[in-house]
Amino acid sequence: MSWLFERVKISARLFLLVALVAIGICGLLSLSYAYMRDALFEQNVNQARHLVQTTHSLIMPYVYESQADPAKLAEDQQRVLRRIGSLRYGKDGYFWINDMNGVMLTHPISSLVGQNLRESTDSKGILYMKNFINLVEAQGQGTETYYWPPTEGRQKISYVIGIPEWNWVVGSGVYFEDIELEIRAIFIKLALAAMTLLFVLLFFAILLGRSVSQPILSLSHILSDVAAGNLDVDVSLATRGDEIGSMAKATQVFVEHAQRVARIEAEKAEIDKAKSAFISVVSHELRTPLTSIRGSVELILGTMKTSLPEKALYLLNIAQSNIDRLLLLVNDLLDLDRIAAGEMRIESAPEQLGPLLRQAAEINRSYAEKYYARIHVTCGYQEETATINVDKARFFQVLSNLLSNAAKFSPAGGQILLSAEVMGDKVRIKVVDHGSGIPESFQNRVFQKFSQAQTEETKDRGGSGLGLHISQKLVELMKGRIGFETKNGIGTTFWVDFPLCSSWKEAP
Amino acid sequence: MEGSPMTPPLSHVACVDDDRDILEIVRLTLETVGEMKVSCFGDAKKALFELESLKPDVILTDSRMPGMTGQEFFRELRRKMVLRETPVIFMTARVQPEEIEEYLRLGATGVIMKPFNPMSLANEIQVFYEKTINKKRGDDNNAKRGHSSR
Repeated sequence: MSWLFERVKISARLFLLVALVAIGICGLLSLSYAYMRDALFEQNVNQARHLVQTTHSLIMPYVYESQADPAKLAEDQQRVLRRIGSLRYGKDGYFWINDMNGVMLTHPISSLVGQNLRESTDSKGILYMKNFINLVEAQGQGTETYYWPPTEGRQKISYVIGIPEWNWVVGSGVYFEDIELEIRAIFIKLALAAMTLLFVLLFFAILLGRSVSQPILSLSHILSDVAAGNLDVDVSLATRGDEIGSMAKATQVFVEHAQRVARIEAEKAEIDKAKSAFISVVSHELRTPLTSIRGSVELILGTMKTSLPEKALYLLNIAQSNIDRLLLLVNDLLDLDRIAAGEMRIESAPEQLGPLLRQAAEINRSYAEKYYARIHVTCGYQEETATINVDKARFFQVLSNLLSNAAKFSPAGGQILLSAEVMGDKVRIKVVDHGSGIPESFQNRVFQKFSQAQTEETKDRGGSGLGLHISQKLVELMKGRIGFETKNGIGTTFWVDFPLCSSWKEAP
Repeated sequence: MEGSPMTPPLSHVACVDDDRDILEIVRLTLETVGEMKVSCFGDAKKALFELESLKPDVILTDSRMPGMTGQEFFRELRRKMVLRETPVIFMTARVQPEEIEEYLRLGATGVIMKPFNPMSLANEIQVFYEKTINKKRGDDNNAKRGHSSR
C-alpha cells in the first residue's frame, strides 16, 4: 500500500480512484438490473391482475341483471362482449373472454372468435386454454405463463378470472419481451447517466491532479534551479491561498535566504579579491623602495665597510637587520594571502632528508649566531637516506621559521638541536631549544595568525606573528603535520612529520 | 659542457627601470662590485631606440613601467635584428610564481626578484649570461653536427 501512496504519481492515483468508482457503478448497475427486472415484472403482472379484476367488477352488474331477468341474458352477454372486446390499455394490452369449454368469445384476433381452443397448443406445446380453465375451476383466478400468439411464440403471462354465473373466463396479459425492452430502456438511461458522471469525475480528477502536481513540479524545478546556482527565480505561486501556497511561501523564504547568502558570498568574494589585490599591490609598492634602501645599505656595508666610523657601521647594521625584517613581513603577508585564497603553489619532489637538514641549518646559521646560539644537526643512517616528498623552498621556509624562533628564544650560548627520526611510515623532524618554554596561556594560540607570546623576553625579539601560522599551512599543503611540546624553564620542541616516499620504504 | 670553457666576458649591461633610485643602485652595484659598464634608461621607448647602437651584452629590465610593460619591451627587442639574441633578465617586485614562469616562457634568460642583494647581483647576472651563452653554443654545435651527418 505504501508503494501506491509513495511511488505512484498523484494523477495516476486519481485515475485509479476514478477506475474504482467506475467498477463500483458497473457492479451496482448489474445488481440493480436483476432487481429492476423482478420489480418491473411484478408490477406489470399486478397491473394485469388489477385490470382483469376491475373488468370483472364491470361485468358483474350485467351478471346480476341477467340473473334477475333471465330474458336479458343474451343481450347483456352481447353488450359485455362488445364493450370488453373493445377495451385497450398500455402498448398493446387487451382483454379476451372464452367460455369454460374453451370457445373464444371475444379476442382482437377475429379469426379466433368462435373457435374452440381447449386442445390447441402454443409453440412450446403448452395447452394454454385447458390450463386457463383448470386454473379457474381450481382457484377461481390466477396467473398462467405461455407463448403467444401460437405462431410467433412470445412469452406471455396472463391473469385470468372466472365468472361462474355465465361460465366465462376473462383474461389479460403482458409480454415478457415488453418488460425486457422497458428495463433495457431504463438501463440505457442509467448507464448513460453513470458514464456522464464518470467523465465528469475523470475531468475533475485530471484538474485536481494537475492543480496539485503542476505546482509541486514547478516548485521542485525552482528548488533544483536554486541548488544548481541559478538564483534568478520567481516563486509566483506564493499568492495562492491553499497548502501549495504555504509550500510556495516557504520556498520563497528559502529562495530569498539563498539569494541573500549568495549576495553575501559574492560581496565576500569581492572583498577577498580586493584584499588580495591590495596585498599584492602593497607588497609590490613596498618592495620597490625597499630595493633602493637595501641596495644602498648593503652596498655601503659591502664596499665601504673599512672606511666607515664604527658608530655608522653599527647603525647601518641595525638598518640592515630591520630591512630584512620588513622584507620577511612583506613575504609573510603575501604568503598568508595566497594560502587564504587557496592559491599557494606547492611543487613537491622526492628529497633526501640528510642534505636537506644540513642545508637548512646552514641557511640559518648566521641568523642563530646573532642570538649567540648554535645549530646542531643529528641524523642517523636511516634518517640520512630517508626520502620525503616536499617543495624544497617551502620546506626551508618552514625550517627557517622554526630555527629562527628557536634561536630567538634560546639563552645566550644555547644549543639548537635539529634532528630526525623515522617512525613507521613517516619521519619526524625536531627542532629543540633550551629556552624558557611557551607560556601556558599562549599554547593554544601558537599557530594562530598575528599571535605572539607577550613576555618580557619576547618584546625585543621582533616577528610578525605570522611565521608559525604560515608554517603550519605549508606543512599541511605538503601532506605533513606540525606540533610542539614545551616545558616551562626547560625548552620547547617543535616537530614536523612528513610521510616517507613509498619508493624509499620499499628500498631498505 | 660543450665547446670552449671560455665565455666571452660580460662587460656591458643595459638596465631599464622607471625608478631612478633603483637604476642608480644597479649602476653603482654593477660598476663597483661587477666592474661592468652600465647603460641606464628610465624610459623603455628611449632605450629601444638607443640600445641598437649600444649593443649591450645583457639587458636588465623592470617588469612594470609606465607606457610599456616589460613583456612589450621584450617583444620589441626581439624584433630588432641586432638585439634579437641579447640575453634579457627581468626584475620584478611581484614575486608571484606564475609571473616568473610567464617571463621564462616568453624567452627571458632569468628573473631577479626585488629587492635584490646588491653584493650578489653582478654574480647572478654573470651566471644567467653564461648559461645562455653555453646553451646557445650547445645548440649551434648540435645544429652543425646535425648538418654534417646528412
